[in-house]
Amino acid sequence: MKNTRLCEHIGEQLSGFLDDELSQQENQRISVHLSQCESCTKTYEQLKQIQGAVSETFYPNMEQQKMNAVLQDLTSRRMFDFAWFAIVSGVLISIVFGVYHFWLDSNIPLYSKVVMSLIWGGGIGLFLTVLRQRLIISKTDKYNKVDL
Amino acid sequence: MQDTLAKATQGAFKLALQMLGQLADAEDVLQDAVSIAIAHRSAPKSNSADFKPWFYRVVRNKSIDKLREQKRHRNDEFDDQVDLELDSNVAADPEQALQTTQLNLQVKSALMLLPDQQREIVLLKDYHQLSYLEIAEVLDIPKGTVMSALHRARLALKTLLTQTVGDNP
Repeated sequence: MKNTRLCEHIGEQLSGFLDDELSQQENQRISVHLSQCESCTKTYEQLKQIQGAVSETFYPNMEQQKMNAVLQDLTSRRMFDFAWFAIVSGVLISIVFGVYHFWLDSNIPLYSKVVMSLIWGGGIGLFLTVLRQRLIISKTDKYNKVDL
Repeated sequence: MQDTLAKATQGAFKLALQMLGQLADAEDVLQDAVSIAIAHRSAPKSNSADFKPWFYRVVRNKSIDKLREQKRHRNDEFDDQVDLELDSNVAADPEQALQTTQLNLQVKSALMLLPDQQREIVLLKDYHQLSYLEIAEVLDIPKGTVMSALHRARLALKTLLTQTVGDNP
């Protein structure tokens, strides 16, 4: 077994040679060295074998049906997002206009405006509180994907 | 766009599977990554050469997020399932099937013993066949360090495999 000082400098370039990632000049240098050095040739052959073994390692594909679902789901998700955006925008605009006209309507007495505003404000406040709690739970509940 | 995306998705799914070890987790990560690929404004076009490493990087980052979030260890369910599929694929020649399964298991066991960064770089090169430049993009490291990191990882894998073979003659 011939071990020269050059072996220490070859090191990582063996991998570069194996992967065809070296320049032509470097490739030639490694090639010449391998033809002369038994030790580096052995390491190179082992790395090549390992590379082959790793490339043939078996990992399953994602099921076609599931992949189609993931890819197709995007279109429906975009439409879903758009639909929600449209609904929420419509509702918000209606509320703003409703409140605006309600408060500017001179036929409704002031006490009625205040009472109605308190009732609706309280109702909306409760709804938002419950909604917030539900959203927090849906994001943090580690059992929410468990089928019972 | 969806055809190219579908091709990159299978490879990226396996990367997620290799990192997470669970089919369901890898599917979740893929779903998130595909959403980002569609919605992200700075995403390369799916028919460009830059798309694959960019998409792999998204999948890798999402997988790391998933690992952090769950902080749980891989269990044996994954390997059993994979090996059952392998057996059914090569059952025509039982002896060859046994050898292939054993080698497959040895390589996978050795890969699992490697530190995460070393396992990633070996798999990106030797399994996913990415170039050094693409690996640098996926791992967000300078291209100049890919070769040395990969070589160290391969030598570590070689040592582990030598030990495994030595333990199981």
